[in-house]
Amino acid sequence: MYAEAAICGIILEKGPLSWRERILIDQKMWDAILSRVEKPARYIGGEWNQTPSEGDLAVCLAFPDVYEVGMSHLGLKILYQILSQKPGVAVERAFAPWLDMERELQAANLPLVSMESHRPLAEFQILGFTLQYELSYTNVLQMLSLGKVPLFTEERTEKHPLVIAGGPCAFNPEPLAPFLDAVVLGEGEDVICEIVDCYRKWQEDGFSRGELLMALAKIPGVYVPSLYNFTYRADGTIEAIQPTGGAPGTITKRVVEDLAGAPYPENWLVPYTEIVHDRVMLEIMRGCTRGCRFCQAGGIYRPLRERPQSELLDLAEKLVSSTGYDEISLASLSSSDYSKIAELTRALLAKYGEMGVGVSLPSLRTDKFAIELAQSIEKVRKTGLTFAPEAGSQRLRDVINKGVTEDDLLTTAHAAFSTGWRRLKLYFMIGLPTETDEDVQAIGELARKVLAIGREHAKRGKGGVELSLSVSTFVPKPQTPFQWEPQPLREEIRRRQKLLRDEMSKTRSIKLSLHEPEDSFLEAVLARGDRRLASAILAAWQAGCHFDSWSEQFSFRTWLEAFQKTGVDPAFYANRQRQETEILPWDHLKSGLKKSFLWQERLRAYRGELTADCRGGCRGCGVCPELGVANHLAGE
Amino acid sequence: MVERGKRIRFKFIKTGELKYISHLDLLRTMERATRRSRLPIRYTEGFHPRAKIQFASALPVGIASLGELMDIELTEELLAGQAMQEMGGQLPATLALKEARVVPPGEGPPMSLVRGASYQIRVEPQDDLAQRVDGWLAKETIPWTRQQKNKVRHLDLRGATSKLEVLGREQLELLLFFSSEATNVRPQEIIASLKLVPLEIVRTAIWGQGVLMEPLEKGIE
Ligand code: SF4
Repeated sequence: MYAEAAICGIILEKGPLSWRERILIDQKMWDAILSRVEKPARYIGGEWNQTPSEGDLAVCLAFPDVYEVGMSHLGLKILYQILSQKPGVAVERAFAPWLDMERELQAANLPLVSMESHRPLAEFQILGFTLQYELSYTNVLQMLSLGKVPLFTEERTEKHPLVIAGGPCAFNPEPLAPFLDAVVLGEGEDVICEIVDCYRKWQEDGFSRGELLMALAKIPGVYVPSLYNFTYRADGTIEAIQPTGGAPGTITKRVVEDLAGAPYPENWLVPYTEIVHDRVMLEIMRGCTRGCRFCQAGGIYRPLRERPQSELLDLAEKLVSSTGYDEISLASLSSSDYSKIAELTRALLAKYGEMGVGVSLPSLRTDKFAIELAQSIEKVRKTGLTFAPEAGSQRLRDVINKGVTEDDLLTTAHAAFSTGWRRLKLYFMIGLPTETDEDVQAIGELARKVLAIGREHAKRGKGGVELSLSVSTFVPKPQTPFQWEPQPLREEIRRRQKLLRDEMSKTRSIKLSLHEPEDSFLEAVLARGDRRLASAILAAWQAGCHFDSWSEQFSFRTWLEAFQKTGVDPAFYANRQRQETEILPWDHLKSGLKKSFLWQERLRAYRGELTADCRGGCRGCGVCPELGVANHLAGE
Repeated sequence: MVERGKRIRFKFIKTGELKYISHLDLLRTMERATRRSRLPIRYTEGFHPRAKIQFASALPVGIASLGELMDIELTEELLAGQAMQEMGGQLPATLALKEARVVPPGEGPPMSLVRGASYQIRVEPQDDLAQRVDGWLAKETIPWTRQQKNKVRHLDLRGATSKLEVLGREQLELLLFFSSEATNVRPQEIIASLKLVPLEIVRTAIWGQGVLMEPLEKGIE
């Protein structure tokens, strides 16, 4: 730290500084900045298990949110591990700096840099963003801008990084189309290496950037938005989506056929500061067979693939030893559905309980079995349980294919309270298709029944019960049976929220939390938007919008002004009923779910017909035949 | 001399960018290191078992240290050197363990032994640094208020200062008294009351009056 002066002297004679040399000079400034920002620990990196990765091809995995959020994301860890083992590749990470750090960087004219080697984003060859949620889109622009990377694909040249993106939002990346060079559909495990190889070959051959994009478009699962032309009808709907220059007409998602032996982050980074999911995550399975009609993840991650139990036990041993974490979370969309879940939890508890290591199940089904499982995990410490009936009435639960009856919920509540739990949280949604006022009020009735059960048990034991309801607003998502549905207008959502609040005012002891309809509205606009939205996103960002998923940062007014300024009608995207024949902005992007299946499911929803879990037999969604895969259960 | 024991006291450093992690972060990091090392650590009873680790003093965020102290409790007797080797292998170089000693049974927690701490401080160069410090030291008391969320604390900076020495135009050496009853003064507060701009603060040692290990052998009473 005291040798900068000498170093400065040497480099200044050499002319322009490389990023490595600049780091040494900036170190002092960096140190001063760290001592001023609110949470310096989120910028220091150097986590336990981080090993330097060296190579001439530098890839930066970027997460458009703060460190604590991005570091909790499993997909990023998996890709990081895969790339760190690829010869010739240096893989690093970057996160969105919080507002105080942004100001510091801008004031000092420092670019956004990677965690590992403090390399400016603009000096990477490949920059890969994870798109987990729509409200992070403006952060992508913010990170590009802070990293001094040109925002638009057409502005970038051979000298600039290749900007790619993946994650669930990749199933409709259209609103970000002009900013992204390429998009990965589906699971990135294999395709990320193919992209790197393609890049290297292009670099060696010395071709143009246009040729690189063409070559990328030939990789299965890689979508290059700039190679597609959209034409529109007078009513604003899409007339046609045309590939150009020999790009394929449709792009089908990539999947890992079987999770057995699939790569897993064994060099698990252990942050010094507390992150959102500060624990070992064991991904026990991917995909879901239940078929809830509002759920995007359940469909796009199909087919169901369970990781073999023996492999999970091995991974647990490696990860507990190498991280020292005190908790193993069994991650999946519906953990209690894993075929061998009881055996697995028992084995993990037997092995690690003594060391003070606990097991957690983040997503439980609403049934008695789930309580038995939870009971085996939390013998003493009963922190609280969360269940998601999603809708208050049986009628509406059938519409969304939730497959949970009132009886299931009440039995579950009974089992939970009788085994000593005192805190229960229930998730519901407002604004689902076909919802009536009675459905909304039914949320309150159901909650009161649960509370009554709790009170009965509490009378026998000591202490009271706590019941809380978290009620969000339905956001129709692409690649689901509800992709054609309107989101009710904000005023209507507010009216239904008030209805529920009035309903709940009879029972003040139940805690009710409602989400702001404005956030969900913007989410609905962005989720099903097309590339005409890009100008509005740009305008909103230019007017200061970013960190939109942080309620204290979200400025709905600024967004409305941006829509107005760019002539975009947000209601066209959020609140409009689409027709069966309408070309949707993501029609060329294939998750494997057939559009005809989704439409049939929509019709069944309106008729209140259930579609059974496809573990019991194929329901014809199309994923398995389209992708040439099958459901894989552990122990089969 | 006791060689084996169930309580081991380590002296460790906190340097580099790890000076930016909080006391709670440090506790978590040490707890994870003990679990990785598979040392037979004792856990607290109760709903959420915690490894029995105790620090001598919480170090404010942003201050590096060359001599922090921490005790770990074990379920079986171990050689201090062995514990240090196993635990040390699970820590980054910026949190390296420097010494280890078995703490005899009956000895109080490290917190109770601390009487003060010394610091090396680098500030933005000042030509009148010596005069400023002399004037400051000549005062009987230097009242100071610390705003903490919704509490206000009244401190006497002068009374808490055992030694303040000027080394050149930008270096200071500071020795602060700690007391178990009152709130401890922070070195940043001394610097602020001198109207100086700190560039780097390093805690060089924790001082006590016990006879356990360096530097606790040197009392400042
Ligand atoms: S194709 Fe059939 S078995 Fe495969 S995920 Fe779809 S419904 Fe399930």
